[in-house]
Amino acid sequence: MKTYRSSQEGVWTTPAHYPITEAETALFNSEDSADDAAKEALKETIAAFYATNPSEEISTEVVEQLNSIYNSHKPEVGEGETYELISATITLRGEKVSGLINCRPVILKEDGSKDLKTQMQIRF
Amino acid sequence: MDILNFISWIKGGRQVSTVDASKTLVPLGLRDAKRDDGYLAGAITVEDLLALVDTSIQGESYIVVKGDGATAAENGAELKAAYDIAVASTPYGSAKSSSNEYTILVAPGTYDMSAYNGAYGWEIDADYVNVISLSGIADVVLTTFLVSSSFCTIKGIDASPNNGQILIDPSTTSITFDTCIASDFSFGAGITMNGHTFKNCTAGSNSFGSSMVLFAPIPFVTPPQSTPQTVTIQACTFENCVAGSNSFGAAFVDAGIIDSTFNKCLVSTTDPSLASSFGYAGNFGPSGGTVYIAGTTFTDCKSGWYSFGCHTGFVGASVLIESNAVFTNCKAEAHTFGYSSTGNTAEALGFFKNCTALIFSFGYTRMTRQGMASGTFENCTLINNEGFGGYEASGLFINCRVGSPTTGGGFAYAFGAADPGAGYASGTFTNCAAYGFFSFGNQTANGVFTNCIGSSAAFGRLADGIFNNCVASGSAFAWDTTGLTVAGQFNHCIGGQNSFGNDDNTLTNYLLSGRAAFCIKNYGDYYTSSGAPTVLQCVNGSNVVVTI
Repeated sequence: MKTYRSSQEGVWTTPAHYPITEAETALFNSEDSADDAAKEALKETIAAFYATNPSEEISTEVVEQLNSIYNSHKPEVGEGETYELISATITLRGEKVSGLINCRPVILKEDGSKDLKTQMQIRF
Repeated sequence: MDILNFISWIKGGRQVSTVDASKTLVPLGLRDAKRDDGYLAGAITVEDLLALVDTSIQGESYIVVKGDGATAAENGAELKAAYDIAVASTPYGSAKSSSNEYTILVAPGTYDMSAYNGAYGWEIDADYVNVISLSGIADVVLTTFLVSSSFCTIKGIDASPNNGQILIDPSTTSITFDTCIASDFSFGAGITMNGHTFKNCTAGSNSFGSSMVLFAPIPFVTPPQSTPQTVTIQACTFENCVAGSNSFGAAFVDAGIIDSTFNKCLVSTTDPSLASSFGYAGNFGPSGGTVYIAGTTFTDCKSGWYSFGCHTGFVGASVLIESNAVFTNCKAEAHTFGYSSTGNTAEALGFFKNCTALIFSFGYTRMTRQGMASGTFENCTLINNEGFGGYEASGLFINCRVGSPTTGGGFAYAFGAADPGAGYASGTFTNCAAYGFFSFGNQTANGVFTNCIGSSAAFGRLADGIFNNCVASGSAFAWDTTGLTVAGQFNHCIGGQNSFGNDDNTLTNYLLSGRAAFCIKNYGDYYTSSGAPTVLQCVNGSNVVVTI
């Protein structure tokens, strides 16, 4: 099972995870109080890794699959409206596909301001 | 011998009420085809005669176990005999099936089945054979037993005395447990369950599809020291069930709850921080793994910490509450409704209505940018702080609250605002409030906000959304836009010191932008809108109007 996210059409991310080593795993499992400081430091290191919001590289084939799924569920908008993607989440679980699209129609006014219509949620 | 004999014996005082059953004879007519009259006179002892009489109550599809033996072992023998009859039965001349079941009705009492124990106690292994208490309440007391059959109902059984368990073979399906009681590690401890129904059942900890088993011998479980543990609850129904901690889908590595229903279920622990139920994994180790909840409804359910979609592994794990999961009137405490520890992801895509948590909940991770609240959240409350999307709040939020106006303060880190300095609030927020610092987009607030209340550092370091009738205190509404033009639309909003841009040119930017009017409070002065929405008027602390 892998979950992909997008907040910009055509651009997908999936969280990359910290490549923990066996030594770090052993440190995590250590019950020796002498390791407490090192354990906390490791947690900070891991947090720093995730703070960069890392993503795994996604193959072109998967991106195409995600775009296809997304486009098949993307709603139509009314005349004079543009479509604004807020967030999309797609999970591929074996042959099964599930997900959620948050989006809203937008009307761009002459003065440059935006009229944001009611947010839509498409679940699948 | 005729009626005159009886009259004579009675008159002679030879009517008795007790006899030596092994020696007293009863006259009989023995069938003898060689005789002209067809019968030969004979006798049988009372004892032998009684042995021939079937005193059981049974029909084509049922048998009653009276449980009136002198000992629990005798009761057990009676139950075993009835079970053997049930196994061999062909009700109404046909094989047992879903429409032709056989039911054992068991009278209240204690039944010692130890003489018939297999590897895991007495084993109910015949499909379509029900074992049901006559009274309907849990007054049939058994020791540990295993159900390895499918398509059956077990009702009114109490295995809890002497720490007895009710065990389920993982290969089974479609078992209904109704009004049953068991101790720890029961009703699917350590196994994946499919298609079972549990009504009014009570168990101890590590029960109802839980794999938090640290030691053998628990059937079908390999201790985690050698094998990662996974549990999945699929297509199961739980109604009015109560368990101890680590229950209802709890595992060391992976826990899944799919296409199931939980109604009025409760995790009861003296220490709520040990609850860890309703989709929990991790056990605070470094392992990866997944907590996955999909197609499942939770209604009027209650737990403590680490529940309703929580992973406490430290690296590489994920929590995903799918968009078709529904939580209604559910209550939990810390680390719930889509929470993961540092180094994991948590996404809450489902429906959440009238749900309450304590802290660190509703699509939240701590210290990382991996918590997402993308679903629908209505009338949900976070009693303390930190929740509703640590990194991204892109869903629909209606009447949701974080903290309270009386106890507020602290760091809210709510609605797309996590520590440190991350978070996007891109969804729609209506009548929502966060009373601590940092809320509604720690980094960017680009959604639609109506009638929302924040505190300091609320509504985005960058704010280019639409804000209607929103209120915050200092450093709110694009509180760090140095060198930038504020792009948001602010309609009748109130901010405090260093709000609306936190830049000397901010007010000019607003005026030049021709945006809708807004209110701003700065030190002792405050500003409010008047007339056309593009005209900004400021009212100072002496209530004197100052037009900018």
